[in-house]
Parts: sequence; structure tokens; C-alpha cells
Amino acid sequence: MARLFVPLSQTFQVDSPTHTFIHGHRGCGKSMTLRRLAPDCKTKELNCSVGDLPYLALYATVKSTDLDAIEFGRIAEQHAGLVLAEHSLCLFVASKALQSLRDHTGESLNGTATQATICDVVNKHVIELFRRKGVRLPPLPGQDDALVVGIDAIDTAYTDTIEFLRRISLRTEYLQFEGAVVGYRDFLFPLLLALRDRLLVSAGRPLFVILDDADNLNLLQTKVLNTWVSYRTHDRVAFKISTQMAYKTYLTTTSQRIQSPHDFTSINISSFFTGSRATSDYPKWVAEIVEKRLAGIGLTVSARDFFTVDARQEKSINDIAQKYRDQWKDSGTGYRANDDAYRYARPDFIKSLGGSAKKSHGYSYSGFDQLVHLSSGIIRYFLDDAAAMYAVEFNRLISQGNTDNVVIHQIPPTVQNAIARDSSDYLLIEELEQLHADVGLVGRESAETFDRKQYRLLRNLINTLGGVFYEILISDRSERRVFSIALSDEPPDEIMSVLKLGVIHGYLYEGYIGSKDGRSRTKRFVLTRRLAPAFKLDPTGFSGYLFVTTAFLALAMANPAATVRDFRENRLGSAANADQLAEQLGLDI
Amino acid sequence: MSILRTLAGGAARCLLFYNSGISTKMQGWLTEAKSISPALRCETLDLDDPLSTADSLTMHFAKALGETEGTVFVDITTFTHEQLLIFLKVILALRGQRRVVLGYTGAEEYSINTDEARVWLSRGVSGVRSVLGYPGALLPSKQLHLVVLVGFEHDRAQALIERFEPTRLSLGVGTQSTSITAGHYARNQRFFEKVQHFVSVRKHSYEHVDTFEFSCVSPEETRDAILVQAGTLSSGYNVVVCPLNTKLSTVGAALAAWSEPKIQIAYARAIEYNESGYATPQAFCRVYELG
Repeated sequence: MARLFVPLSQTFQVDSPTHTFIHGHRGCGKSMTLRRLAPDCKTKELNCSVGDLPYLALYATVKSTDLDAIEFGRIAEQHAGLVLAEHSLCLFVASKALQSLRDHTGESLNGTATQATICDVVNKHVIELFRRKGVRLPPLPGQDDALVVGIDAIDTAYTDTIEFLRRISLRTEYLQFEGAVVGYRDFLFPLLLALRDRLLVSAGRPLFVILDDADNLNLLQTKVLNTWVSYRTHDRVAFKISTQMAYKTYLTTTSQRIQSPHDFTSINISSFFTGSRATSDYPKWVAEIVEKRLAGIGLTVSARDFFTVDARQEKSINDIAQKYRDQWKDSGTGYRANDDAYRYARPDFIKSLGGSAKKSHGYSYSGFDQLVHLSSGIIRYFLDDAAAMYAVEFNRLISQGNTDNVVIHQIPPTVQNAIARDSSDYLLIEELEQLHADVGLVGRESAETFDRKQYRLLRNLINTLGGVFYEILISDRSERRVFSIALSDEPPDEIMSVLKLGVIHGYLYEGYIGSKDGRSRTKRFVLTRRLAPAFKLDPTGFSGYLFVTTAFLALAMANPAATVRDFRENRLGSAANADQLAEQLGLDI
Repeated sequence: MSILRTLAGGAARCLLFYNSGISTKMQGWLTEAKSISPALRCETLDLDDPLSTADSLTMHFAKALGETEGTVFVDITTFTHEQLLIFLKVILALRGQRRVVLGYTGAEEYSINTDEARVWLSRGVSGVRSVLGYPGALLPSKQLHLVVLVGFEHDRAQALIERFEPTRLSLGVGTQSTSITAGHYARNQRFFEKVQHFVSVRKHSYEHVDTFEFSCVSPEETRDAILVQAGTLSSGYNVVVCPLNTKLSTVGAALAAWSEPKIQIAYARAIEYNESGYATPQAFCRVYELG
């Protein structure tokens, strides 16, 4: 893994001594960003010992049902539910912290004095505390690794909770938990503080608890975690919490809301790479990753040469661009000749291919830069497609009889295009379009589950946006590459929940822009560029946005075909006015 | 419906559970069921609320068992995997000395409203959760070993794998000799290979991936196959099992979890089921007596 690792150009200031939430879709690089804070990575980066680190970052991942046993629902409304939620989360975090210390410090803590220190901390803050509280610890083995002793003791305490949950599975009547319970103030915080104070040389440096994928906590545990965030201990113990855009609540156990920047800082990595960095930092980072991986198999080739463009297509686009440059003096609309060439050449080329949005396959989604845009700021999407392209090309060469020592020097544009289209179709058709296609077969809308209805509305919305954006692309509007909508009023919760669903599943990215009246800020939703091939859109570079009303969104969710038709007939003619266009030009989306 | 039609006449009590929020098509089935057995008592279950599912099953079974004697016969064919597992837990707690027999009608054909290339039974995954009554003993110090009994719903299997991100992964496939039909085996192989491909492009994420075989029709054989996989419990792993194949193999997963309570069973809630063309039934049913 270390061989392939390329750090993000941005640290997002996650290493500042504040509680921090890091949001991002699966595969956007947030786990890597957090993992590199752990002692093994940080000591290498700074070439220092654990004791000299500027902070001690302990890493924990929360997996799907690690903590969120369905049995918790039995006691969710009881005070015991809250107590056990805190108890289980404390034990989980403490165990993970000790494991991280064991697994992410290499040989750094092996010295006799350091081991004695750890032994002292574990004895005082885990073993003795547990015994005082009545945890029935088995006789401690002659284990000389204090961390293992502490981890095993925590397992023992945790087992009591699991057994209790097992006993209440089918019970509706109250059952008292008779085991020992621990909390943040009497157990976890003192333990973490002791580790910080005893392991870091310089006083006053913080300890970070990294909780990766905190969406997997249940509601009560989430509230408990928020309560810890509200304690303002960040200068000593700060939480770095990552989510996959589905964090359950920001309420604490006392129903207070933790807020940014008052209680924590917040970073959205997905939106970050679809913002202005979409054309600067992100492509550079992806290129570094590609080139490092290719070098790993002995190939010295640039990412752009490996994922080569369709030369014929690029020549045609360049010819159109040249015409715009030639005409700019007489009829240009941009500030520079290149503005018009850049803005209109590719859309004009796509328009020249004709056909309906979904049927024409004339446009080639190929070339490194275009593939980077298609990944929409999520590195995993790029890498998954790249792996599929490599496999297809490998099999193609094998089928041509190249059985020995197959070396791939570049991925042909046809292969890139085919995989990009497959991915886009999968996203649209497999996951969304078929849901809608069968609605008529399975009964009336009133019979749908809430989930299913929400997905159907989302599917309609996405199809509407794709259709409308295509209409804009092939129009004579001054800005034709539109990939996002901005809200010009405040839609009701039903519509907002569908938009939120789109954000959670990565179909939409959420951001903010200036409102239409210029007096405030409003929400903006960017369609993932992964869907560009499915709708025959241009995924590259700058694009404008479309202000939409609640009425538009309601119609879009109900009837995509009618919405697109209505847009084409009634709204498309009114090209963006000069003010709006100027505002759009000020933004890279 | 075929089991109800055959046995309703001889039953002292007849209970039918159906999912709330049903479609018009399901409403038609309900009417048909009532016409077969006018004394049928119909009770609802909520797909999104396992606690109320357990409470409803407990209440109605406790009442029915109190009012009657003799064998309990349960048609498990159309329970969801989660409902079936909860039901088994409930009946285990309530049965006493009562004889419990499970009936399962296999599918002659699946996805009858699509061509082969577009076969589907369910779509999308709205969430992954542990199954009530099967919390396992997931200790924070252990790494995760995910055991999946792969069926036709390969996207559901993929979603589970993606959500859990296990350190160790075992993919189970039904044996040819125990598949419901030869056609099912071929199709299951195809979906199994899809899941394998999905895993292979992400193989850097898992330290260990292996495959194993289980029986689609014998709960005991499936239990034994799962318990072999769960041998990793003794070598530092938490074990989570996700049954996605036949209901009889899901019974096998329950038997495995009863035998080794440290095993957790997990369930991926589908967004949508292919209600209009899910399957056509075989002309016979398999019966299994709960030991």
C-alpha cells in the first residue's frame, strides 16, 4: 500500500487541534487523508520518534454492524439505552485506541521505559478502574504486552454488553443491565489524556481520535459522540470524524445541536474536488497516482500518454475552436479569443454528431483529462474504470495471440470510451432507471415503500437534469455546459429529502452559491459527471448552473419527459442574462 | 399459496403474515388466500421494523400455540431472509416440546418477467443491519471475517461486501447436486462469478479471499459448511454471515448461529422486490423438521 500511496496535495487542516468532521463519498480519499495522521505515517514524514510528534493520532474504523446491533432498538427509549450506548462506544474507542497504538507505531514503543509507562497507564486507567467497577476480569495472563492486556480486558467488559443485548432480543418487558458501565468522563477521557501526557514528550500537544465511517454508529451512539464533541476538550483530545455523507444527527444526548465552527470544523472532500480544484489539484494528484502505479510495473509513461485522446475527435474539436478564434474579433462574446473557443468548440462538436441524447454514441469519452473529469472528484471511480480498461486491453492483446510478456503501453480511446459508457449506464440504468421502469408493474404509488418512492423521485430528477442539460448543451445559449442547479426558493422537505438522497448516493454534490437576488447564499446541487456519457454531456472544465424553482423540481420528479419538453419549448429560448452569465463565469463548478 | 391450498383444510389454526404497505397485486393474493381458508387470520409485518416483526410473531405464535396442540407447520417460502431468521428465533423460544416442520417451495423459474440478461429478484440496498436475535459477539479487538452465501442477488452481495469492508472474505456457492434445478445452478454460477470479479478488482482491500460450497436444500449441511468457515473465530476474527441463497440455506445459517452464538447474521435490506415476476413455484415442496 505504501508503495502506491500518493498523498493528497491538500491536508484540509485536519491536523489542527479542533474537533473535525470530514465528509466525502466512498473512495474520495478521506480515509487515506486521516490514516496518514497515525504515528507510523507521521513519524516517517517528520523523521522523528512517536514522543516528538506534534500530536498522537489514534485510528479507528467503524464497520457496518460493529456497534449498531439491532437489539439496541429495544432500549432506545429507556435511559439504559443512552447509558449503554455511551458504555459500548467508550469501550470500542478505547480498544481501538490501544490497538492503533500497538499496530501503528512500529518499533517505537518497544523500549523498556516506554513499555513500563504504557503498563502503568493501562493498569491504572483500565484494569484497576474495571476492577473497582466490578468487571469480572479473568486472571491476567503473564502477558508482557500491556496493550494486549488492556485490549483483552476491554473485550471482557464488552462481552457483558453483548450478552445483555442477546437476552433482550425478544423481550418487550424491562430487563436491568447488571454489568459495570463506563463513561467518557470517568474512563475514556482520562485514559486518552494519560496516553497523551505519558507518551508525548512536549506538554500541551493534543491526542486525536480518528473515527472513520462514523455513519455506521446508531442514532444513540451518534448523539453520544456529538456530546463528546460538545465538551470542548479539543486542545487535549480532539475527534476527527469521517462520514460517507450519511451522518445521522448533530444533536447531543440533551438535544442540543453541535455547530460549525463553534464546536467543530467541517470539510467536504467530495465537493472540494468538484470545486475549483477540479481542474488543478485533482488532475495533478490523479496523474501522480497513475504514473506511480505504472512505474510499479516498470512502465515510464505519462498519464496523458497512457490514456491517450481520440486524435481524430480532438482534431475536429480543435478545428472548430480555431474558427471561434478567427471569428472572435468580429462576433466573439468572451473576453478573449480562447474563451469562446474553449466554451463552444466541444459542445458544437457534440451537437454536430446529432441523434438523441441517449442513442448517439459518436462522441468519444477518452483521454486522461476527460476521464479525470468523469470521475467527478472521487479517485476510486477513476481507478475502478482504469482497472477495467486495463483488463479489457489485456484480454484483447491475449486474444490476438500475444501470449508472452504482454505489456500495455497505452489504453486505446475505444476501450476507454466503452468502459466510461458502461460505468455511466450502470449508474443510471442498473441503479436508477430500472427502478422506474417497473413501477407500473408492481402496483399503485400508494403501495410503494417510502424508500422506493424516494428512489423513483430521485431517478426522475436525475433523468430530467440530464435531459435538460443536454438541451442546453446543444442550444445557442451563451453558456452551454451546465451541470448543476441552484435553488431560487425554498423547496419543501419532501423535495429536499430527495435531493439529499441524491447527495448520499453520489448522484449529486452539494454546495452553495450566491442567490439570484445577490443578497444571500443558496444551495447548489451538481450532477455527477460520471453520468455525462449516459446523457451525452460534455464533462470537461467550467460549467454554469441553472436556477430552478420548487415547481420545476416537483415536475422534474413527477414527469421527466414533460419537464424536458417544457424546458425546451418555454425556457430554453431565454438565454442566461448578462448578469447571471457574469456571475456564472466567476465560478468553477 | 400451494402449501396453504394443500394443508388449510386439515389445520386447527391458520395464520398468514404479510408485509404492510402492500401493492394491489399482493392485495389480490391476500383475497385469494382468504378464499382458500375462510378461518385464516392475517397479520402484518413491517419490513423496516425488525423489532415489531419479532413482537408480532411472538404475540401471534404464543397465542396460537396456547390455543392448539399438535404439529406446527410453517411455510417459509416467502418470508424475507430477515423475517425467517427472526421467526426461527421466536419459535425456538416458544415451541417447548412442540414439533415444528418447515415447508419450502422452490422456484421453478425466477424473474419470469425478464429475459435472461436482465434477471432480477431485488434491486438496490437501502441499508445493512444485524438480524435481531443474532447479534453475535463482535469484539472491538477482532478483525472481520465476512461469510456470504451468494445467491441470485449479486448486487446485494456486492453491497454487503462494500459496506463491511472485511479483512477476510468467504464466498459460498450452492453445490450443483443440491441446487433447486440445473438451470438455477448455472445462473447462480454466473452471479457468483460476477461477485468474484467484483472482489478481484478490489482484492488489495482484503487480506484473504476464499470460496466454499454449501447445500441449497439441507440446513444441516449448510450449517456445517458455515461452521467450518467460522473456524476463524478461534484465530482472532469476528464472523458475520450473510445468507442470500435459498430459505433452507438461511435456516442452515440460523442453525450455525445457534451452534456458535459468536456468529452474527446480517441482512441487506433491498429497496425493491420483483413482485410481478419474482418466481413460479415448483410442483412440490421440501419439508424440514426443526430439531
